[in-house]
Amino acid sequence: MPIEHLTDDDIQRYLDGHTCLENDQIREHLEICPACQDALEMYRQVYAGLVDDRDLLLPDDFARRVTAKLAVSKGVRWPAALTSVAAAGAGLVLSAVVLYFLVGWQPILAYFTNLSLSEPEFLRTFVSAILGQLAYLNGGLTIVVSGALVLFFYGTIDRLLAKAKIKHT
Amino acid sequence: MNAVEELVKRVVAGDLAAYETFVKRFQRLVGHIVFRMVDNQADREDIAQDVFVKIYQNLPGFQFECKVSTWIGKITFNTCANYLAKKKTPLLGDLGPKEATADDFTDDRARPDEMVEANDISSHLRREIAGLPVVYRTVLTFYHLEEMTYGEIARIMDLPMNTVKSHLFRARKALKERLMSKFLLEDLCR
Repeated sequence: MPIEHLTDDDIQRYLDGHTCLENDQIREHLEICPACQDALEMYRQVYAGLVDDRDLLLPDDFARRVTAKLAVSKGVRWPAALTSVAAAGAGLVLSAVVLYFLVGWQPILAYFTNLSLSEPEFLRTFVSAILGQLAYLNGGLTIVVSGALVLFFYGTIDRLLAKAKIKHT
Repeated sequence: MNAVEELVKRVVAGDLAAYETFVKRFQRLVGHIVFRMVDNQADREDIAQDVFVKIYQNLPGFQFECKVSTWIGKITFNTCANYLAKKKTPLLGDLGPKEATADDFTDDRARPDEMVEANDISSHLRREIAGLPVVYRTVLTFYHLEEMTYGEIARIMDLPMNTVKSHLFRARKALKERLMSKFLLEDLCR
């Protein structure tokens, strides 16, 4: 049975190699129908363009960069731990400096000298000592603000180190 | 055990050099999908790297219940889809104003002397593909560049097979019409 015109779907199925119509029927029609020949040629151009991947390729050294990134993240555990310890140490030193300027060494030394770890009321002693320090400071706000500053400092250092690590990878 | 399975086994055992070989083998697939789905050039390589980091992390749990390429395709597609969701880019927008109209045939058709310029058919087609909705571009990539079946594409994109087919046919029809609106047939046949 002669076909009037091939539809877009017919032509696409024909080019895909799974047509519903008989291939002979399609070929016969294409031989005599210029409009369908034009459409087929247009589709051929589209199909050819669709396998062109020149803009879709990753750089040649991509695989090496991926494995370098993985190697860094695999081996990062020790350096990361050391970095955290170093940052925590810096935070402690800063806290000590802040305390020194706020209260001096005497009250701190006095606290540790009088403290007996064997006492069962260690926690109570500790809490009362802290409260004593706050009272000595004539208001706890100063030490709370100092503590917040130390935490902020520690957090900033940690973020900067983490960013530097990501950039490095 | 085939070559890919052997490679996976070595990677899971901690062999990073084997993973480099694995990445080289599949970077074409990942690149095709990422570059077709993500327009922002600055983010493309980072996304591709993220994909391979995810693959590395999930490889020990991969049981070969599907082809490795299908599994990688799914991870890549999902990673790009998540990125686009964050950017509020729709996966299936409309076909846009570039679809062929009667005016295109009279006003926009290139003259033969214009054809020698950089505006050649293949670069025009690349631009038109880039202008399609993301889902269409992705289906075209899986079907034509990766030579995947409808079933594999449906599995990767989590779509019914008929929807995949329909996207594919509509996308190619749109491209054909846009090409017709721009070029004379004799130009194409030169």
